[in-house]
Amino acid sequence: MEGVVQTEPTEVSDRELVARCQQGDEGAFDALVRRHQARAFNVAFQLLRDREDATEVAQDAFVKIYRSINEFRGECEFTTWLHQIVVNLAHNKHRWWQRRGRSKTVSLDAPVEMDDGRLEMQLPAAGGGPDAEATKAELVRTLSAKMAALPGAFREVLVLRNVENLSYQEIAVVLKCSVGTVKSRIARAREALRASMKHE
Amino acid sequence: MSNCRDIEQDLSALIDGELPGERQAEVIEHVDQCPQCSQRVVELQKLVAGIAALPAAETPPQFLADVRRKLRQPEQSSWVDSLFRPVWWKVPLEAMALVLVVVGVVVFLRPSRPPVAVARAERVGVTAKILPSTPAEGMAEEKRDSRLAALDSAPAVRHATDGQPAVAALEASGKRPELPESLVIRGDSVVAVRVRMENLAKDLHGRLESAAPSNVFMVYLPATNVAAFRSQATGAKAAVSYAASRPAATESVVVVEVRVEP
Repeated sequence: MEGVVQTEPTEVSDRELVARCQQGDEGAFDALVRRHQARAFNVAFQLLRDREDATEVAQDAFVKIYRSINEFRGECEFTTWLHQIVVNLAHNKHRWWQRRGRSKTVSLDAPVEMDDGRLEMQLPAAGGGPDAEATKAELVRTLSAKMAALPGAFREVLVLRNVENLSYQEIAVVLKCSVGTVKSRIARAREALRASMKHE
Repeated sequence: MSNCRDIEQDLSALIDGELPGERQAEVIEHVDQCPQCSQRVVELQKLVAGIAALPAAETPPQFLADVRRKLRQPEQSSWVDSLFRPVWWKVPLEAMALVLVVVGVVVFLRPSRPPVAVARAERVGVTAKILPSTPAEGMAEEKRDSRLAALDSAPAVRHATDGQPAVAALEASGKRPELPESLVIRGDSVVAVRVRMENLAKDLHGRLESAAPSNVFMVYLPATNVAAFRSQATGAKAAVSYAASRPAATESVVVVEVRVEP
C-alpha cells in the first residue's frame, strides 16, 4: 500500500473498501478501521474482560489486516475475517496470561450473589424506575462475571452468537470448525452459564 | 411425545432459529406439551437476552491513530516467521545446516579406536577376540588381508558368538585359540597386570584403556615406544604380539589380553 490516494469513502461496501486498500488506498483502510473498530474492540473486550488487553488485540487485528490485506480473496465477509483475527489474537492473549499463571478476568467487580437459586434474568422494561435499573445493573455484573469464568471456547461462541449475532454457519467459519460443533458448543456453554447462575 | 433428554440438546438451537424445519416442528411440539422443557426454553431465552444486553465497551479514543502508529513500527515477526520465512531460501539452507551438524556429530562421536568384539568363555584361560572387522586404521592392506584370512580360518572366531560351544569345539580339537595381533600376558591377577601395564604405558608416554571384557586392554603409545613396551610388558611370558600403527602416525596401539592361570 505504497501509493497514497486520499479518499474518504462513506457509503461504500466493505468489499469495495478492501479492494481499494489492496490498490494502496490508505484512506480506505482508515475507513475500514473507523467502521469496525467498535465491533473489534467490543468482541475483544467481551472475550478478555480487560480494556488494555482488548485495545491491544483490536489494534493488532487491524495491523494484521493491513499487512495481509492482499491475502484476502473475498471468500467470506470482511467482518468474518475480522472476527477470525480478533478471536485468534484474544485466544493467544488469554493463553499468554494463563502461561504466566495470571488471570486477567478477575478485573471485574466481584459477582453479586443471587438471593435464591432461581435464575433471575428478567430484564426490566425501559423506564422501570431506579429499583429496576439497580436490579439490571446487578444482573449485568453477575452475568459478566459468570461469562468471564467460562472456558474460553464457551465464551467465544456466546459472544459471537449473542453479542455479535452471527449465525451458526458464520461462527463455524470464524472458528474453523463444523456447524455441528458450533451448535453443541453453544448449547453446552449456555447450560454451563445457566448452571453457574443458578448455583452460585 | 419425544424424550426430554433427546429434546434438551436442541433447545438452544431452537431459540436461535437454527434447527431444520422438521426438527424444529418436532421440538416445538414437545416443548408445548412439556412444562419442564418449556421452563428451560424460557430460562434460555432470558439468558440469551441477558448476554445480548451486556453493555458494549466504549472504544478507546485515538484508536485509529494508535493503529497507524503501530503500522509505522517495524513488523515484529514471530519466532516461527523469523526462523522459516522466507521459506524459499531459509528452509533449504537450514536443512543443509542440519545435515552438516548431524554429520559433524556422527563423525565426532565415532569411536577413535577400532572396535573389539570379544566372545569369552567363562572358563579361565580361554578367550576369543576379534580384532577390527572393518579395515584397521593405518594398517597396510596386505597385512589386513592376511589378518582377515587368519580370522576367517580360526574356529574361535567363526564361533565367537556361540560362547561356550566355541570353547568346547576348541578343546575337543586340542587347539588353543589363535589370537593374532595381540599381546597375551599370563599373570596371577588381572588387576595386578593391569596396574603394571598402566604404569608402563605412562612411563612410555602412552595410556591404557579397557575394552570389554576387563581382561582386554588397549594400550596407546608413541610408535617409537612399542618395542620397548612389548619387551617390558611381556618378558618371557609373551606368547603372541602385534602392534598396529594408527593413522595419527605418531601413536600405535597394542592390544593386551591377560590370561589368569594358577
